Amino acid sequence: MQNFLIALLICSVTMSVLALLYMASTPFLSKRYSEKGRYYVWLIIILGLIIPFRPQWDGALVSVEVPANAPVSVMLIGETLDLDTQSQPFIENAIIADTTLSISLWQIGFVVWLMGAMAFIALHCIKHYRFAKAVRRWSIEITDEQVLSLLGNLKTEMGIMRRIPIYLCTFAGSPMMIGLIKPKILLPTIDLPQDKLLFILKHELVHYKRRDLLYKCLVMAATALHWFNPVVYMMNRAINVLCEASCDAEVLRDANMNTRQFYGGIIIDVAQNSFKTALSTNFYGGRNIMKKRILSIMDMSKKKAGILVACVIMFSMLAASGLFAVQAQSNHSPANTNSDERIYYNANTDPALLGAWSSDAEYLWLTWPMQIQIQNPPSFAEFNGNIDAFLEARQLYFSRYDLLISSNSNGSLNF
Amino acid sequence: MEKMKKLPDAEFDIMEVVWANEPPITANIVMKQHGNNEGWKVQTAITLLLRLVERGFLRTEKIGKERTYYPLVNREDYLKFETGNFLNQFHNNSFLNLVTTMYNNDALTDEDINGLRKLLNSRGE
Repeated sequence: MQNFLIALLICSVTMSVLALLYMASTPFLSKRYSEKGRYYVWLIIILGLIIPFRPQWDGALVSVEVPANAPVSVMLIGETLDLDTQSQPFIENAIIADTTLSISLWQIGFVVWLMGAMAFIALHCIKHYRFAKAVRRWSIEITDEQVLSLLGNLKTEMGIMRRIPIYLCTFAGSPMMIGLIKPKILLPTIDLPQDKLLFILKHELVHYKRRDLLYKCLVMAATALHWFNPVVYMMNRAINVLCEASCDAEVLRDANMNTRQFYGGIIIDVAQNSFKTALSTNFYGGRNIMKKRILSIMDMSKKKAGILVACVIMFSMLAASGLFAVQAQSNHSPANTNSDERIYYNANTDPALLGAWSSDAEYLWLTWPMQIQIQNPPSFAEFNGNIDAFLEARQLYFSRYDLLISSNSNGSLNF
Repeated sequence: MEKMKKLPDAEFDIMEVVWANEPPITANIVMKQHGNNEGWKVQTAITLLLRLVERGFLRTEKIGKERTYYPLVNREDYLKFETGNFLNQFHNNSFLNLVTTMYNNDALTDEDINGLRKLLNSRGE
């Protein structure tokens, strides 16, 4: 659980840094690389956010160590000595006993995260359901022959077989596509000249063909997982802008300047009409985005696909995962003889020790090289009383490593 | 009329019949145009109509034996009420929705629109 949370947090932070760098280099990249390329580079970042676990290798530059607090101690010993659990069943038991005994900060964190993610998903499902229901209630399927044949021709031209109904949906504000499984096009009005309608339909069909709704679904999933991260919301916005811009570029592939101007006019019409009915409050965010969109519609220069950018992003992701390797358990291997290493050992949950003493002996801890110390023993005498049972169990335990167990008088056991 | 509430499906369907016809509306008209398809009994239609009267969507008069109904809320007003939220949601925040919208950024002023058109035309030459 804590490994998962740590992996998620590291993923969130490293991907945020990457996303911010990518966003900051937009002015530079937009001159050289196509909208489509830049749009799909975001997909790599989104997938990186959804899958927080990456291949890890030793030799990480920065290793994040999970603080080994008492409740996880026995687990560490079990991992450390690499015993198979069948021959040492008490280690297993001890782990179970531990996890049920205490609630760590990590568990609280995990619950908070899970609740946030579920709330995010629930909220957006309800919102979407309500919208879809209103669409069903208030929209009328368009059966106008001219419109349908226009759509039919476009579909044939683009190689789309699927039936995509068009609905007149007066409250939609802007032409849109809805429905991941059953796609439909919603138009706020069909009172438009054929040539304008053609471009609007083509725009929506490009969304369909590129599976932009599926892409959006992935973006939503990443946002749900990283709901606590403000950068993810900025990414949402940037991706959305690029989604429309790259769709424009696809509609206008090989188009001449006249067509581009005509299409730009349609987009401005849509933007204008979408607010005749809307109760809008914010008057500033849209202008710059629209300005850039119009400029890129008019931009006829050839641009690179952006494979290099994709490679750089992927390389950075892998490098970042190498930089921050989660080393929750691996540092405590016997081969590692760093004398500062301490492994706490919870004596209370070790069945082998239950017979050794009865009262509230706290912890034994192991240090490397092998040494067991008793922290806060009730009394040495009390411990000493059943030391044989303990030593027997320990000896069995450590014998594989050919270690000699001996005891000294000051309450610590040396191996 | 008190605060308007979102109509359940059955009552909304009746309002659609009411809006589609010239008043006065009778339970018979509702049955003929909608209720029969749904397999309603006449009593069902009457109950729903009376509920709409309670809600303030209809008023009712009794002419002779027959009870008649007149709409008090027109379709556009109700549409605006029911979908007003979406206009806000889907314009200011549409980047977090599972729809693709052709334009989904913040509102533009007339000045902005004119500026954009000028920009568009200036590049033609």
